[in-house]
Amino acid sequence: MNSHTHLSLLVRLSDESNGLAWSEFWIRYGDLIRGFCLRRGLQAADIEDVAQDVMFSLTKAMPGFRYDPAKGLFRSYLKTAVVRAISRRFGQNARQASLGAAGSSSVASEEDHDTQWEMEWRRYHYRRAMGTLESEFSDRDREVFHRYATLGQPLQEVAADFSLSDATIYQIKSRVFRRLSETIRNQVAEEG
Amino acid sequence: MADNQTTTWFEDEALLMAVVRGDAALTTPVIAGYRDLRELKRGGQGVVFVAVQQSTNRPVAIKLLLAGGLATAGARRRFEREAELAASLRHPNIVRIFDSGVTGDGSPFLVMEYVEGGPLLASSQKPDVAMLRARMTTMMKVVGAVSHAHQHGVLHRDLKPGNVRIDNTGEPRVLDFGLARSLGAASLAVSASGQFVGSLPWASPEQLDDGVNTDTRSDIYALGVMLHQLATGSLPYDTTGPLSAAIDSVRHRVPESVARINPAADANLSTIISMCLAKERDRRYPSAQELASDLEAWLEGEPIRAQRDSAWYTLRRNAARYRTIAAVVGVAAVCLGAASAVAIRAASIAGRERDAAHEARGRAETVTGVLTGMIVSPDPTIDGRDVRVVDVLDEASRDAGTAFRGDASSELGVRIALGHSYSSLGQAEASLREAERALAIIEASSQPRPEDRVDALTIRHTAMLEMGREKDAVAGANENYVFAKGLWGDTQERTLEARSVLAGCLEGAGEHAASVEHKRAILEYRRERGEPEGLIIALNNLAVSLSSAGDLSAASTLLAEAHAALVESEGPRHPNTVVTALNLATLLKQQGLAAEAMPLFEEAIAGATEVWGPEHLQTLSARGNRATALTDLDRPAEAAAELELLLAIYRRVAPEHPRILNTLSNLASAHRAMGDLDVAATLFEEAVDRATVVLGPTHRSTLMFRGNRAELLTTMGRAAESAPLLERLAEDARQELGLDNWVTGTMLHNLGSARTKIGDRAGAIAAFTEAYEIFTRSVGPSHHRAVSAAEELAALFEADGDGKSAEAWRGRAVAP
Repeated sequence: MNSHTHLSLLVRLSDESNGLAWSEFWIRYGDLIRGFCLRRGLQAADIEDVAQDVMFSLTKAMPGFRYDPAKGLFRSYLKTAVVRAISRRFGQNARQASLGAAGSSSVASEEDHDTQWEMEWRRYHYRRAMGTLESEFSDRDREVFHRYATLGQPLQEVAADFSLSDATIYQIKSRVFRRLSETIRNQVAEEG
Repeated sequence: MADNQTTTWFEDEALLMAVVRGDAALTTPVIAGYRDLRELKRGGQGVVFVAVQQSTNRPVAIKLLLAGGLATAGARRRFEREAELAASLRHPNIVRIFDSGVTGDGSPFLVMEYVEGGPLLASSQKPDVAMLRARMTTMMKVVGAVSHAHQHGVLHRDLKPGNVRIDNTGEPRVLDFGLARSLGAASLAVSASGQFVGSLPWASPEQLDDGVNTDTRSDIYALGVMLHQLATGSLPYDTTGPLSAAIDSVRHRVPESVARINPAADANLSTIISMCLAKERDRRYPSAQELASDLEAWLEGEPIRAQRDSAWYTLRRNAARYRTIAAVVGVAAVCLGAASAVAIRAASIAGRERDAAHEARGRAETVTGVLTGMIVSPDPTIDGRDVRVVDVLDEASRDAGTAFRGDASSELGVRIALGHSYSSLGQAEASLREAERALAIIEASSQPRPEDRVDALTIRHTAMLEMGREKDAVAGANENYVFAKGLWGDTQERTLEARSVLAGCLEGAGEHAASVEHKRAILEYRRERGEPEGLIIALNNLAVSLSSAGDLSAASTLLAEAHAALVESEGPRHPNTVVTALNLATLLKQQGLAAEAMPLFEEAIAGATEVWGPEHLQTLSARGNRATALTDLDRPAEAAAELELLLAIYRRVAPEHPRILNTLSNLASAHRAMGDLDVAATLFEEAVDRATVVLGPTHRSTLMFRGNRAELLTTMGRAAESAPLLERLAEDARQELGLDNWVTGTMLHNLGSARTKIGDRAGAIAAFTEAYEIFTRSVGPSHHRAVSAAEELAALFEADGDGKSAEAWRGRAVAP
């Protein structure tokens, strides 16, 4: 069993003494939890506290945890844990002033939990997939994708900078996109 | 949101790209002076971006650390200070830090040189010789970088392959100096109570203890782990799996030597790496500079300087596995047949010979390199030569005098190491010789280290103990122990070793109570320290004392514990497991539990045959003990056949060995059990005569044989001859073994039987009464020996017409 699949991570987590599995879990989901908290408007220091709370409550729940797909998706389970942790700390109306952090998008406090969670969840999958694909594509291809697809720089400009034809730029973008899509599909499938 | 929307967002280009762009916007900080931030990678500590520095248009890397890490002003200041320190480092192999700061939302960031290139460790295959040299050359530069940082007061604290990049010119560049402390929630801290681990494989034992008290040597440890990885493709310990097991591995497990795992490496490189990985900081390289020098020396093919300390340390650590477990002197009950004394010696001679041959084949030039390689490295393939370990040691001993002329301190280390090696091979005389030489060097030196003196004396006393000169050694051993205790306290390893030798000497000198007291204390300390190896040896040693004192059931309880632990940690075929199984079986048999003992005997014999070979003394001893158990189980014909075989083998391979006496005696018992009393009597005679000459008339084994012979005479109806023999025997036993020893009790019991036969009822009663008292004291009133004595007394009083006394004794004759 590939020890990096989601399910096997859950299995390893239920062995409460397995600190390394927890560490992986933390690294994997930490950003997700933090990102969600950020969207909810929490301050930086509070985010850390909440994240720790979540992990702690999970450690208590995890030993003996048996993942049962019939009982619902893991991500719903995790979301509930995070939402509970936030409300335990800050009460039901966790509307802190927006951070106005440099570079962070505006926190739409009108959005409900589900939407925000879904957004974070997608980001989490995207980032994981990109991590997996890092070794598959060269620096150049990733740079091309970043500038053309993500930043939306004009096709000709990117082609000129890299001394490649327009068609090649387009092909690179398609290839990265396709792999990204496939990888995320696999991730979502294994997640249950 | 409906399910079908969520499952196809990643197939829809618009939706997926929205996520991609949203993420880029969200996670890209805006930092004044830098543009075009693009995420490169993400790790436990934070995100790394590549960016362009506006003022210079050069690419830089920006590391954005986890949000929320620096909520307080204090944390921020600490971070700034550490960043400043790190920024002050200028070295070709250290990634430069240009700038640092904190974003609006409290996230600290660092601006660093952007290093394009690849990872340090790209594959987990074992490198061949050329690749190994290349990697070590790279590591030498890494170590040089670490050394530079140390000299400027900066510890790294998180060294691992992930923190070293190889740039496009092939140079290593080390990242992230000195930042571990101020990052708090990052990936370093480990505790069983729920903090999380990122760098456990590279964490030193002291970092696992409290993480606070670390110094340059913690970095050196991490470098050792990296060296091990680069040399073998794998980590020195398995740190997957349960956290507690991983931590335990780091704290206690001695890693397999690099030369063993990868034949492309040699003993010297193993030594260097072992010295980095020492559990005790004092045993590591004191500075990165010295490590770098030794790596350079290794690359140049010159002698490395680490060997002395390293050899000593490794040998002590690993020699513990092979350390002599004191003999269980199994002296059997006369009636049940004599069990043999089991001398427990060191590990696989066969294995050692193979190791030595391997080392001889590929070995480097220096003496201690050979020693370390020998003890630390394992199974090799021999290229046809059959080199005995002892020969290697002898050669080393000869060389040491000349090779280290003028370098007394190195020679001292070698002598001590040799002393240990000889000892663990059972070569007591040679061990003693080395210890004496070591002591001579110490005496001649102007500033002898107390550790060296204690070590040399411990070896010397151990050797004397093994040579049977315990009485001579007691005083010195006591002094040594007291000295060590004064310097380092009772819990320190050296003190424990000195104390253990003292206890052994006391045991041999007949001071059982004192010996037991020390051994109990040692056992307690070993239990506290939780070191399985030391604990097992302590269990064995105490069991030996207790069994000598006759407390067989306590001894067998301890041995059962040790045996279980050994089967678990070393497996059933490890020499110590085999020896412990054998000892335990012997004890069980002596308690009359022959049926329980048999499976253990079988296990021990199978193990001994595999470990040492079918004709090794250890294996023969196991077979002999099993044969006596066969006699107990009413299978004397089988026992006799086996013992005849063993006798023949002994006469062929070790004609002078005292074990022959036991074998003769056991064979006699077997014949006796078959009813061939004349044959038995003859054999006992022979045993007694030999023993009197070889061991002396009052040696416990001689006493046993005399007892066996006398008891047989009684059985043959020659009580008139046996009674006076037994009287003398009982007296000798009282003197030699004491009044708390069941063997004395047995002699008295047999005397009682003889006197009964010749009609001396009063004398018989006196003898049985004394026997009963001794048995009660030593093995307990419900032990079958005590019961038997009580029965005899009941019968005697009955015959005397003293019904009341008879009744009283019958009451005591209740078996459990």
